[in-house]
Amino acid sequence: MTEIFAGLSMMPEDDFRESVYPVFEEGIVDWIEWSFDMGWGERGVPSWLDGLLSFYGSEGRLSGHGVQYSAMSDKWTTVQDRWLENLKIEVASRQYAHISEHFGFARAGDYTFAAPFPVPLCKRAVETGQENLQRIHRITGGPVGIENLAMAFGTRDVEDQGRFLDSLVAPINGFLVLDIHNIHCQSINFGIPILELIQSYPLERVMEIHISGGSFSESKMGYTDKSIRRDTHDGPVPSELFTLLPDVLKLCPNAKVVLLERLGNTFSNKASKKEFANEFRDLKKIVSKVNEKRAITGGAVPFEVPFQREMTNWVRENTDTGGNVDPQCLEELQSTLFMLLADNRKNAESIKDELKRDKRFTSVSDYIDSMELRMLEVGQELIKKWGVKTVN
Amino acid sequence: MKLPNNLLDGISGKKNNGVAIFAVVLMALAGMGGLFWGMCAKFAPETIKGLTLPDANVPPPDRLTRSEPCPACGMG
Repeated sequence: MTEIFAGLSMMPEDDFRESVYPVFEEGIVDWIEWSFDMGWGERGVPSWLDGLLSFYGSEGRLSGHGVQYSAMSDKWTTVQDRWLENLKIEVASRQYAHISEHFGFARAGDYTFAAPFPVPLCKRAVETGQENLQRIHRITGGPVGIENLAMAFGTRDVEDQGRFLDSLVAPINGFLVLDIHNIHCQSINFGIPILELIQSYPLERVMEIHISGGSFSESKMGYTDKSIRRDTHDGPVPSELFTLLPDVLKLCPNAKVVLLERLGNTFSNKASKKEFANEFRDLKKIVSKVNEKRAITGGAVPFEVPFQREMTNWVRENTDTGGNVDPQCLEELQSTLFMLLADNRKNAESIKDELKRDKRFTSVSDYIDSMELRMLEVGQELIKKWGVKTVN
Repeated sequence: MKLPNNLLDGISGKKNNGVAIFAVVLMALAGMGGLFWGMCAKFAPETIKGLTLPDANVPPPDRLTRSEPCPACGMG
C-alpha cells in the first residue's frame, strides 16, 4: 500500500518562511520539494532552508524540481552543459527521492532563459525531449519526471500534451508531475471540462501532483472579452481544485505526494500568510482521508511496479502523414518565435502572419494555424517579463 | 513529520533574530568604544597624539599602542 504524502514546494523568501512556520511546527508537512537551480545563483540557499532540505532528504522525503534546464529546447547550448554539471553536484550533496523538470522550451535564439513555451508535437520534438531527459537520468540514476505546462497557444497544444509527455518519459520509464492548476488554466481558457483533460494524461505515470493558485489577465489588444487564467502561483488555490483532488487521486494509482505551491514575495499581509497555512491544512486533511480510504479498500498500486509502456502509435502516424519536421525547423521555430514575441513593434496578428509566411515552417503550418491571438499575446507578456537575453 | 527544534527555530526566524541582536550589540559596543576614544581625544589630547603619531624618540610608557588601555577611561 502506497501512502500519499502532503507536502510543500519550498521558497527561500522570508514571507514564505513566515507563512509555513505554523504547519512545520504542527508537524504536518510530510514532504518538501526544492527547485534546486534557484539556489545555484548568487543568492544561494538560506541556512534555515538548507537545514530543512538535508533533514527531509535524509528521511527520503525530498524531491527536486528543476526550472531552468529547458528540456524541450532543440538547440543544445553550454548553458545546459553547465546546468547538468551543477545537477551532478546537487544530487551528490542532497538526497533527492526523485527529480523532475518542466515541459516546454525556455531557451532559444538570443534568450538564455524565458518562461517555458509549448512545442508542436512532432517526431523531432519527441526525440529532443527524450534525449534531454535521458541526460538528466544518466546523472541522477533515479526516477526522472516532467511536469505538464499551463501555457498553450491553442487547443492543439492542450489536446496533445498528455500523449506528448507519455512519449517523452517512456524511454527512461519516467514519471509525470501532474499540475492540476495548470490543467485548470487550460480548462478555463479552452473550455474543456477539467476531468476530461486530466484523463487525457498517462495517469498511471503520475507520481507527484502539484496544486496552486493563480490569477486572471485581460487581452489588452481586445483579442478576447474573456479573462485568461494564468499560472502565476501568487494567489489562493481555487476551491474547486481541492474538491476535485480526491477524484484525481483515485485516477492516479501511483501518486506518491501532493505538493502545495506558492511563490515567495506574494504574501501582501498576515491574512494571506494565514490563508496559505490553512490551505496546507486543508490539503493535509484531504490526503489523509484518501489514505484512510485506500487503507480500507487496498486500492492503490505500489509505485515500485514498473509501468513501461509501448510507444504509442501516434509518433509513427505523425511521421507517416508528413507531420515530422526538418531537423533545423524546430530550432529555428523556437528562436524565431522568441524573437517575434519579444519585438515590441509586433502584435499577435503580425507574429502569426510572419510565422505562416515563413517557408522554413511549412511542415508545422497546421500548428501555426492553431495558435490563438490571445495566447500569442500572453506569450508576448511572458517573454517580456521573464526573458533574459544572452550577453555577448 | 516532527522537526528537530533547531530546524523549527530556523523557520521561525529565531536564528535570524539572534544574529540581528548580536549585530546590534556589536554595533552598540563599537559605538561606545568610539565615544570613549572621542572622549579620550577631547580630554587627553597629548596622549592620543602619541597614539596616532608614535614618536620613536619618546620612550615607553608614554608611547601607547591600541592594545593598551585608554589612559582617560581605562577601557581597552
